[in-house]
Amino acid sequence: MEKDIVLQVENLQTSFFTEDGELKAVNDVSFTLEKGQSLGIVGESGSGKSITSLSIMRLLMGTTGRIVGGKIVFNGKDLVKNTEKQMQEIRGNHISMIFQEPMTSLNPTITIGEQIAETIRGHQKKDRKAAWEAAIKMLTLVGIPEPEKRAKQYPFELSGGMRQRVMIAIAISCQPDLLIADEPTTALDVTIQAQILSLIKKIQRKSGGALIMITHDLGVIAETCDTVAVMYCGKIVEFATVHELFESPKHPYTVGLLSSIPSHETDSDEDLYIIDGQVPSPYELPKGCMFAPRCPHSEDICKNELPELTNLYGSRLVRCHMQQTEGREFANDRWKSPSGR
Amino acid sequence: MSVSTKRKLKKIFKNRQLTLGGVIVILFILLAIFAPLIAPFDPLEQSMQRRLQAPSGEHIMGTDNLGRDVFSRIVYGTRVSLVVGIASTLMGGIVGVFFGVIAGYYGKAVDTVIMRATDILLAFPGILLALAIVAILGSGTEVVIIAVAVWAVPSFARIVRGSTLAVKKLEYIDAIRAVGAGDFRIIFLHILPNVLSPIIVQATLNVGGAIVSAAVLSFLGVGTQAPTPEWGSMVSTGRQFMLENPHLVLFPGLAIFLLVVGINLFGDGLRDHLEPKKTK
Repeated sequence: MEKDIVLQVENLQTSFFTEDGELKAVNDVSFTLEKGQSLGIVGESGSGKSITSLSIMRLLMGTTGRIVGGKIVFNGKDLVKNTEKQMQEIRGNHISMIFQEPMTSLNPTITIGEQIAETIRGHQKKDRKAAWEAAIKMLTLVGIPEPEKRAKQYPFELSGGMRQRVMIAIAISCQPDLLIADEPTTALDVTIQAQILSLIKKIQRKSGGALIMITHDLGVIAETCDTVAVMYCGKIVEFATVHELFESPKHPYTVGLLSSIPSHETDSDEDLYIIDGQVPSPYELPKGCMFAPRCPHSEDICKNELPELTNLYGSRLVRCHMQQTEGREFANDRWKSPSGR
Repeated sequence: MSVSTKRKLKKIFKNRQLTLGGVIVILFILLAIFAPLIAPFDPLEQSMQRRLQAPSGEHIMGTDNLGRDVFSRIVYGTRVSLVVGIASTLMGGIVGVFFGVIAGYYGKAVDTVIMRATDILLAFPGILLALAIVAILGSGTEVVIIAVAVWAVPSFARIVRGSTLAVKKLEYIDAIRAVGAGDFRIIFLHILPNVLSPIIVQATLNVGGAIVSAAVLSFLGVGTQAPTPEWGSMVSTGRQFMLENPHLVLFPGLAIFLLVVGINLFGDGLRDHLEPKKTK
């Protein structure tokens, strides 16, 4: 297989500097993404998954956040070293992003056609008319009926699903090499979610670009991604292909996440599995494994030493002491036994 | 006429302030445009025989100390007042909006410098500031426009800065930045159109204030110079003959009052119309 690396993130560290001190939102995150590949980043709120994507886009200004270390190599160039001007050239043109909230992600005072055309004109030498025609083509591509009529409408005249389609049209209007979707379906109805996901997938397959899907929903990952990075407290705790992850999760946190999803076999009377405890405060991260305080398998070493992200086989990585020493299998039912849930 | 247009018109006419204010303003604008057709006399034509006449059939608002027809002078005075009001608002508005949006968008030091500068301007009583500018630049209608415009800058800057702060935090600004838009495009294409309604309201209300300020400057003798008919200077001259000839101050005073009330009604109505949530 030919390896055409689009994005290589190496030891990325992004911190927020607040009155209470440094807050490490993304702590030593590394991954590579090949052309045509799709990577899912999954984790709960505050795990650093969105900050990872904003760091790649270099969109942290306006916040107190800053990239403090690492490299983001995109098509052979380190984005961390780029100036804002160079980033403006890349954003929308080579890397695009779809946001979570389609209801508020469009300018209410401009027609959707103009908004797409504006992005095209920002990056390509096209006159007004050519850009408008390209915009209508994009609307057709994302499956909006009557694109000529819709292009002249304002965002408030469109439903949430339609607006997310418009957002996708804007994002892909310059055929980017990398598309980052940050919770693209969270704000949508369940029926629309499936449509949007298959649209994103279809477009990615057609263009051959790379995709990063950021979500807290493992179902979305299962449907759209090839590989998955599970993030917890700013660190990747497990990296696997989608199939491997669902088949045999290696990190206790992943096991917990998978157990907390209801399935067809789940007894409706039975309570769903809950991971005990809370995500630790980013100001007081545990000394050892971040997950140790909540982990039913934790032993002394977990509380004192931070486990390394170790390669189990192939591209499979996991950050857990238990896996390093004995390669233990955490069966889902064992998870339920300790507290009797 | 489509149904939605009809509904919009109905909403406008239901807003009594907006309708009444609008009618008054439109009447004055018509008066200014068609002054030569409406005024029965030349506003500058003097006549010793007709000095200080009380209102009559021929001179419905009487004549002044130089025998000029008061009604004709008021009609022509509308031009000066409207031009000063609108021109100074435009000038002050453009400058104020520019600084406001820059301060709100960039924040930090830029914001601090601009906002402290507006605080300094606001600390001066408006008329004192205007008098200082007149003292520097000399009197005349153009100077009045500049003086009143300077006085309008800080209020525009403040309002626009506030709205910009709110708009720039909206998600669509991030979304636009994520597709490669630069600051210039974001500010002028995506923020300004979304802070337009408070600007329009402020501009309307400002015209009223500007007209009063201009009249005050002329009343003090540093504004529009004689013999150009101007309401403020008409009140000022009329003051000397006020006891025997109250019409000399009454009518120009009424004109100022009516126009400014009309503009303010219009502005308040416009605010209710554009930002209904704030009032209900």
